[in-house]
Amino acid sequence: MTPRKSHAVRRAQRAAGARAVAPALPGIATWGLVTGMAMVKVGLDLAPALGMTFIVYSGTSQLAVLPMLGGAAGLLAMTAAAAVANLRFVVYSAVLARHLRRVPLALRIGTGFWTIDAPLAVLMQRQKAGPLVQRVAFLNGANAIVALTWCASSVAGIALAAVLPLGPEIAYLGLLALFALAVPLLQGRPAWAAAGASVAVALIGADWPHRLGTFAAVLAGVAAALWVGRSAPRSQARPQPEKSTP
Amino acid sequence: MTETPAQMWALIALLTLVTLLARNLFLLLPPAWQPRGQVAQALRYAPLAALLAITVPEIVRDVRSLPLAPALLADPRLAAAIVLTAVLMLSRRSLLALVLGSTTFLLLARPWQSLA
Repeated sequence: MTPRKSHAVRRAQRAAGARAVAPALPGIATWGLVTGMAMVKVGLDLAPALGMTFIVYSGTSQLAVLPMLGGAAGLLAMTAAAAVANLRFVVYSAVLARHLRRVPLALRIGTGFWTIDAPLAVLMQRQKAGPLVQRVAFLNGANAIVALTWCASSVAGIALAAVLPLGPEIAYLGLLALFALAVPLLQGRPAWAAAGASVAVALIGADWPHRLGTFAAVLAGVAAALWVGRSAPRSQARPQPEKSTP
Repeated sequence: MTETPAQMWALIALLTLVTLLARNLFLLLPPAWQPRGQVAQALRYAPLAALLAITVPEIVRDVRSLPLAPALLADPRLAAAIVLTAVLMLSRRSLLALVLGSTTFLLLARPWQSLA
């Protein structure tokens, strides 16, 4: 493929990624709005609140430490809480590793840093639908629009915290949007096994501290998919032979 | 809040480091450490497992302690999720499903009334 042609393919895939993740954007905007408002409500100044939004870029980390601010917990305790809350992203990085293995280090780290739940979910959807073409461009197209939506809505939440007449219940709309992302992924026996195991463990661990229940549920889901995939015939266990196109 | 500005920026630096490390851990490990074979195949279900683990406990938050009863369907969170799933499975249009699910929640929960 000529460089010009591959450039056009990349651009088309970036647009495809952005389109694929579009249904998740209202939910991400809701979460950003709520997170921005929460930072102001616990007393963060403008600069640290913007720093959290643009530098940390992690609702999970932010929401893990916000309730601990102003308490007896030191910086290291807060960092440890955020680290545990982030464990599901370690599993995500193992998922991403096979997709990014031929990508140069800087692009790999950058892509890894800003790939969050929704873009990875649409990459998995796309992988189910057929062979992946220019998967990094597709993923980063989704990442870019998600990052833009998250940051803009967080800033709006910070700016409007005092005037917006919204209670914490509104955060549920963001959760609904995340749930809508999960439903189309429910195809095939390993997926249903992963879903069943994950939901069971998540319900048991719903009150565990530091989102440990979520992490245990992810591990249980992957283990269940592995178990079902093993006992199924090979053709079912591997619905899509993977191409190595980066 | 009692943290000084210097402490806040130190916290932001530490959180960035933790987030970066968590999201990149396997991207930085050598190829020999990468999952392969059936484990790698099973890992593709991790995002599905995580999305459900985050959302389902919240969806059933208010009904977990109740016995099964028709009244369950009046729970705003559960009703919204059921509407969303039904529309999604019947029409496969996620934006429509999200709008109808969110409307169901807002009509039943009226979150703006819990303020004041």
